[in-house]
Amino acid sequence: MTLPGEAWLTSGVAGLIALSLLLAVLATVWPRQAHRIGIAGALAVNAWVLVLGAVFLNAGPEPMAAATRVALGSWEAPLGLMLHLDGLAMTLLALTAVVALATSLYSLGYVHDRIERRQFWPLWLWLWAGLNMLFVSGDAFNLYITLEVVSLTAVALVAFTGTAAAVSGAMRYLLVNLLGSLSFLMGVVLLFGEHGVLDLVLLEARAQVGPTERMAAVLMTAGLMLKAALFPVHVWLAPAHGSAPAPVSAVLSGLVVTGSFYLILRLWMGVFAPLATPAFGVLIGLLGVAALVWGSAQALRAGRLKSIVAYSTVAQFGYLLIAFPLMLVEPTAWRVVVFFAVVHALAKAAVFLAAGTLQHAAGHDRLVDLGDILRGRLRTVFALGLAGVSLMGLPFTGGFVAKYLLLEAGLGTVLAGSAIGVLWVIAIAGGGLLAAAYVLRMVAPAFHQGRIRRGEAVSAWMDWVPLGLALVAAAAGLSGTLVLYTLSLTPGAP
Amino acid sequence: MNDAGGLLLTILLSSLLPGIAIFFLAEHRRRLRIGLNLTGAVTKLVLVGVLLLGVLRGDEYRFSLPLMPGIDLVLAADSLSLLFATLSAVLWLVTTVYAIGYLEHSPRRSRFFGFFSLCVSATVGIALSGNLITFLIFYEILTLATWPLVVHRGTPAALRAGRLYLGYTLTSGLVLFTAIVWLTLLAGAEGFTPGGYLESLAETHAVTLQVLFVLLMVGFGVKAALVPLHSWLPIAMVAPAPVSALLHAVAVVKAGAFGIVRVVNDVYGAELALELGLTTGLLVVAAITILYGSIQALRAQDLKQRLAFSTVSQVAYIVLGVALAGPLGVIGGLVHLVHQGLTKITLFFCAGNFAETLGIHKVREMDGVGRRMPWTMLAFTMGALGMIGLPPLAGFVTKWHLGLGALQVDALWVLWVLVLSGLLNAAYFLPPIIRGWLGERREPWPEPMREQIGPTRFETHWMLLVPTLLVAALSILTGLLAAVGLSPLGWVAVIVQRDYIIPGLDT
Amino acid sequence: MSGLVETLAPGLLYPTGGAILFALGLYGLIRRHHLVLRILALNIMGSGVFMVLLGIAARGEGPPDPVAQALTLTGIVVAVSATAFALALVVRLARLTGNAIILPGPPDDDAPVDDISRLEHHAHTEAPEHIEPTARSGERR
Repeated sequence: MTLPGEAWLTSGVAGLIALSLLLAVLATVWPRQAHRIGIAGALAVNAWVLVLGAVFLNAGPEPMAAATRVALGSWEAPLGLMLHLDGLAMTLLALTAVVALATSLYSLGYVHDRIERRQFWPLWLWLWAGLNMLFVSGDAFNLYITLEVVSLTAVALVAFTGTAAAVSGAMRYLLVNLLGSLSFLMGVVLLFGEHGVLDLVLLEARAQVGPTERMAAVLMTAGLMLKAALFPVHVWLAPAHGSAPAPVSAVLSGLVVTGSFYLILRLWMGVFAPLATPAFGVLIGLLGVAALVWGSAQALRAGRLKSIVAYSTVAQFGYLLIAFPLMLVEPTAWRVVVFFAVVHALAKAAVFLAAGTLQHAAGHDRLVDLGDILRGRLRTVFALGLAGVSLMGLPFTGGFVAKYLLLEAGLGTVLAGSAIGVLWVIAIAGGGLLAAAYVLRMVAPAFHQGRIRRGEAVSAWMDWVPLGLALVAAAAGLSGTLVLYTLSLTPGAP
Repeated sequence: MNDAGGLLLTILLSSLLPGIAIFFLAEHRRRLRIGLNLTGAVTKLVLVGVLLLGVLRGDEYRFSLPLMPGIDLVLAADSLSLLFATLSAVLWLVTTVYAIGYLEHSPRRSRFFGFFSLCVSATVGIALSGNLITFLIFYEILTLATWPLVVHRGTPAALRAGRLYLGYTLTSGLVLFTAIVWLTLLAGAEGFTPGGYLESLAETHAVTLQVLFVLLMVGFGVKAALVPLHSWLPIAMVAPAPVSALLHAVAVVKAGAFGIVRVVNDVYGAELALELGLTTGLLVVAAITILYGSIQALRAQDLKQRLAFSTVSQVAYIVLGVALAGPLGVIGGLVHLVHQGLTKITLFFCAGNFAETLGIHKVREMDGVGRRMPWTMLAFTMGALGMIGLPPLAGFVTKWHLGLGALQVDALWVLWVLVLSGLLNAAYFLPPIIRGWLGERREPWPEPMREQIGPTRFETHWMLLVPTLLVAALSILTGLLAAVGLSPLGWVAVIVQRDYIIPGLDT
Repeated sequence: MSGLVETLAPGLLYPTGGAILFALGLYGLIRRHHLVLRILALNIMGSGVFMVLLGIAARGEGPPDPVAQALTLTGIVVAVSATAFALALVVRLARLTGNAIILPGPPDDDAPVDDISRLEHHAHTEAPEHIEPTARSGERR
């Protein structure tokens, strides 16, 4: 029997993808109007996602009823391409919509040159469309294609300012991304050779433990880790994210990296689930601890505002790795991990946008010479601080709730008798302290005595959007129940 | 029920919303800022009064908001909440007036009062928290909101103090966070229950509960400045005087002490705490802190430093009373929450007046100040005598009950601690009093305030003098009228009778 | 030698060859610094992947699997576009810097900065117009 919601959901998913592709195409065809198309589109996509989310939640609480698979052009898997909407995809689509709207509004102020605008908006809309496709693709090869779309547009945006540092950062970013994609593709090919299908659901049904699966798991995971800048293959992140224009940095650190992590999670919850052993989990967890310590140490040393934020991404993603062994003990912990990634994305995007405003006002972002601007722009510093509080995992923010749940999962493993669990708990709790230290480095100069200067004029968008997004990141503290419920509507996941 | 919960939320918002508005106010909007500040403070006081009457009538107030699956943000009003909430509301109003006077003509007042209001909102949130997680949330917000106040002056010394403050409080916050998550994992997100809610775990998880108790005490002990976790407090004295007053009398230090009260009485329950042998350790720590703080206060030559160490010592009385775990001891401890608040804020206001008006910072500079500023000196004297515990002032009421409480549970050595600390109190508070009244000043006073804002009508700016005299009067009255039903002592007796299941309380 | 190759079925020859190409490309990518060589190395890796894919397509008894061939074609299109884009970036970089290698990160970034003492220094001096960022890090070394 067909549920009434199902038709809605099917056309809703397909429509969302069609809409975001249409926007990208329109902006490419009419670059002069690209920013208008972009803003109208950002609002439209947000409204669309809101309705889609409401319909999706309404179709619950049975995961199978809510989750939707759409066969493109009515070609069913294994031959056709499937779009796949479940709680996980829905959550990330919503996150993307919110961050993208904020970034779009911010870019109205940030990218004001007419020529630059024509280049920026089409690239940005293609990136956004790529992300949307990434989250709903249910087919391994199609995932490769969306990964490439996201990577190439992201690289182009990093190089956008055209300075030597930007182009150099973009080049490094491109090489890393292409290597990651090829590694991922090699894994896809191996899986295809073994099972003869590419659809993730079909692959999951045939999942088993064998040498080919192991090889594929290593290749795909390594490739995605490279793209997600997970420790120890993270070194490219800071130069790329640090030298990109602020809205681009926000999207890279908030969404693009999260997208790669999303794929790792999806693969290990599905196709590779049988391969996960406790020892492997511990190894990943240790990498996470290393990432946390190393990223924080770099953030404490870095001399530039945006570098601090970029290194903080490396550190914060350490938590996601630490969560891996927790998931092996308590399978439902994956929801906590996704919630963490969501609030991190919101907070990190807000911090980057705020940093961009300060950088624009000062004409540079060297921390030592930034004090007068920080004192002069308290609103932006407030946004930076509020989002920073979320990164520290302190109340009243989304970060606090995420940290609470993560700590709960960590203590759960300790109580379940895992000795190494103590290390995870210490890392989860202590990481907040490190975050506090580097956030303080950015905020404290605002409280020093000294000259007060507002610097270059910035547009109202750049003044207010970081604050708005920081407030959203804080208010995410109230969204815990909703997000976790949405995530529970993921069939096949624990 | 919904309306009743709304009142709690309104009380919280009555300082939060003005605070946010003030934060975004331009610096020169002086009148609007003062208006917002006073409106918020008065509204809060009135609303707390309404709540107080409601609770006296026996109404129940509760507000809850789902935060995570199975875990709610809960605001609730019991008689203990009201003790702390009323104290905060009264002292906030007074301190606001004082701070307006104190910070007149200084820069960045919007920022200051924004965080000031946030700070008080967090304190009231702590008072009204209905479970440990809610408590933790407001407790951490308080940590963050206080930091900008500590570093307000922006000098290197202030920033260093701020770093130290954050280092101590955030670390202890994480310990607390971990302990609370652990406890919630074991026992669920229960609300505060008189007599505790962990009884059922005592058999199976005795050691875990002991470990958790230590973690919780470390978590709260940093803010309550229990030795050896107190080092941040004297250094945080670089903050402006109203901040120090607020920090010491209501907000930060009291939040820690209040947390200890909550954990001992409403999470573990005095009975279980006794059974697990937890109170003895706490008692010893409190006793050491009392003596150590007094000795350090004796050695400190800076007036504010001396007051800071005095706080270390005095707040431990609250912990001592709770750790005695007998009804009279608990009465003594809880009532000191109010008594110490009123007395200490008086002393800090006085110290601020001396420093602002005459540039006095050290004890030895106080010679003859009684003749130049008799009213402030009088307030200082009453506060100091109250602290020493001279009958019939507030401190005496506290110590009397603590002493009886010690006798009630046969802890005679505690009496000696009380006597000794009384002597030490006298030793460090009498010199400034004697110097102030009897000392001779040869050269004329430096008059920093007069140079800045011209001559004042009274001995100092009226906005500094009136709050000082008001809190001094309140602190005297609480002692004199302790026997009256609605005095802090009367209210605490009600709390203990109504809410506390304490072994040995049958009357 | 050629006899050995002929005896190998395409289902084994191509995947093995592909894997070797992939490894060679990876080696080149890591060892080479000139960007054109690195892009070539990536292309060699890509060819390796496609060889494996085609080998898999030809593994069965009957005609080769059309899906795999379609995937290969798509993959090649993506690879060509990526290469074109990469080369454009190299040209841009070479015009800007005169070199086709990646510069080290932003200069100020790696130097350990004792910012707090410097900020305190700011607080002391009345007119903190500008403090040469490299001067102090020079002292440290």
